[in-house]
Amino acid sequence: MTDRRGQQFKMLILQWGPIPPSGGPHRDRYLDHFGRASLQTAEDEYDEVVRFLGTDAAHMPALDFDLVENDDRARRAIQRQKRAEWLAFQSTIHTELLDEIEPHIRKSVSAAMDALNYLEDHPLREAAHGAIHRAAFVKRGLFGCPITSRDDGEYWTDCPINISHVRMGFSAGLVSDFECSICGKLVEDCDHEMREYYPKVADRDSEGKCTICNETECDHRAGETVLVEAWASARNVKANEVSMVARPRYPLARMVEKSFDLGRAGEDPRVRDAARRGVLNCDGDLGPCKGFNEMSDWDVKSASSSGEDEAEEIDLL
Amino acid sequence: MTVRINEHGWTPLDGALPKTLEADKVYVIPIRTATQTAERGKPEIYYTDNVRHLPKAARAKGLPLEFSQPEGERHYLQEFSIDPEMWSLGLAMLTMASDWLILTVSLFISQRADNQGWTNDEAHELPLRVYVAETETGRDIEIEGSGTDVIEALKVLQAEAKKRKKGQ
Repeated sequence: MTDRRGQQFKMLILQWGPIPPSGGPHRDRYLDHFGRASLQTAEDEYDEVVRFLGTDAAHMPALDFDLVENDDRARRAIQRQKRAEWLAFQSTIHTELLDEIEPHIRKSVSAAMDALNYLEDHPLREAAHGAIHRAAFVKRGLFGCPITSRDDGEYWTDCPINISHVRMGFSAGLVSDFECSICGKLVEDCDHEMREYYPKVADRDSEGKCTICNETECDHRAGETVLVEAWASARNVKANEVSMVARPRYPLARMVEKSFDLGRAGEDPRVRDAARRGVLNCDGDLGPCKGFNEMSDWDVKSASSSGEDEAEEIDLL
Repeated sequence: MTVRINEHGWTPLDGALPKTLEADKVYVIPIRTATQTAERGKPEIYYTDNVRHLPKAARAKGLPLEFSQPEGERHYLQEFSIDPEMWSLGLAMLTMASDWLILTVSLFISQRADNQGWTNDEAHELPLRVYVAETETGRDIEIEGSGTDVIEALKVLQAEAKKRKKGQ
């Protein structure tokens, strides 16, 4: 690969549903609530994995190192050591049991990453950090952390350690109208107060959807008056731009996958073949990280453990 | 917090002022432009999303506050990073002697309190920037400080405008 296109990302920008509070005490409560819930899910799912493993769990490789290690060699040595331990452990586990464990450990990883995104300015931030390492350690040990090769010639990773330690989010700039759910006018031009309840007569629109619940099949009868909460529904949404921001309003508007620079090793057909077959793995989950990249210098390439990709991946083969 | 009053650093965006301006009304004016339309001629002008409900709340309280842009020509820019601590409001009126000016700014602060869960007192201590275009004199003023300080500054400017009006 001589054509270098720089770092590329896939990201989540917006989510369906109510817009999260923009700031202040409402936002603090929102982040606290969803952060704690995500952390709990991460723990519950991890516990489920341990329960499935039963007595084997006692022999599982231990995450017995400090989570942050700045010395590259020390970090790499731990990764190698743990990879060997996991290979030995994994060979003792039946495929059926692995199949049962997999959805739970993936859920644990994803919930832990969500928890950090909600709790990044919260006293529980380090708990979320620990939950990511713990779940990613097991997920990598049992199921790998593949670096994939795509038709675009790039290598890609969704490594939870690499992705979650880049503390960056995305903010869409949208121009949109909001329509009142009660009268259909623009919210700024009608007199309905959002979140207040108003009587509304049920009807069917041109697509056969109920004007009360927006479903095609429901119990609302045409002509029936129902008390309905007023809410603002976006329409004519136009995207202006997307910005990288330190703190996105949607806490989960983050990078979900990024291109992975393997350097010269990436040009080796054997490496590309391994990536295509799903057997080229990242070891970032198996050892300590370099701490968070708070993006204060906006140097995306200095993200945790992505600086020595070439050396790591040659070793993997 | 101290208040900063700047009479020379800001002018209303092209097309932001109302085409016709009624003496006893205050107008919310757009203060943002699109970043990407510069090469395609006149940039579009936008209201920030946090003023979308302000004239409606004012209507409910009997305040004569309107958008400067007519229905169908108003565009609101929603940005999804966490809220900038500094909220901004652009207003236009014939004269700063208007009795509605301070009530409008107070209402904007109250809306922030409601939207974000602050008490009204807390919301008054948050940073605020108000742009005022006084069309009678052509003065364009930018005031920045805590909500409380901005309102105090507006009271002083309002008193000056009233004095000026009496002297005419």
